[in-house]
Amino acid sequence: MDIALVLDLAMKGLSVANTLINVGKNAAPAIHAVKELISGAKAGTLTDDDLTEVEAVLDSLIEDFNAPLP
Amino acid sequence: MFRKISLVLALSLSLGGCAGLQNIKTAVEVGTTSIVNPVTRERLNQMENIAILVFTGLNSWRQACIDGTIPASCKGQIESAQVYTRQIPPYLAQLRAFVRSGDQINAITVYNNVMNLITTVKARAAVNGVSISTVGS
Repeated sequence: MDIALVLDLAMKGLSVANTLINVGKNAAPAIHAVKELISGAKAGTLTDDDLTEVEAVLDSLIEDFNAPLP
Repeated sequence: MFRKISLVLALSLSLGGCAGLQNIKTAVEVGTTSIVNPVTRERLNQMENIAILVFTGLNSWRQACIDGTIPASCKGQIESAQVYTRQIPPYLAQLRAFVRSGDQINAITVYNNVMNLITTVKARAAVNGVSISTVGS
């Protein structure tokens, strides 16, 4: 992978984290998602546990958004 | 005071020579797949990571609305988006099952439904001044 691209992605990842922290949100899931998207998974390397971990994070985020507004 | 939320993850400025990122770009920009481009476990995982970024942005919008830092009209806008986001969980459950069982025909159909819903929600948020731009879009 192009080193310049990786550095660019890392900088944008930091920017995203800063945005989330500024609005009082937990930046960890988004940072992890960016990391996963950058590194990518090679075909056949993902286990059920890997999938389940990401699924749990996404389900929680969707549930939060879908809750009725106070 | 209007506070525009912008979660910009424009990560695909230069995608040359990076097949993985090109796949993400395709997934987000096109949002559909076909039998030629099946929904593998890796592709499912990639889509769910993109969805994590989208929903992180949506939740920031929601929190700003609850906190009252954006105009009160946000409540109606978010409820309008929820009409679509509430359709996603059952599709996701089906998609995960189809991918794990190798049922590509149904996985492709449901994958496209999920991507269409995500694209619709992003568009509705954008109309309301909330930019949730993920990779390549």
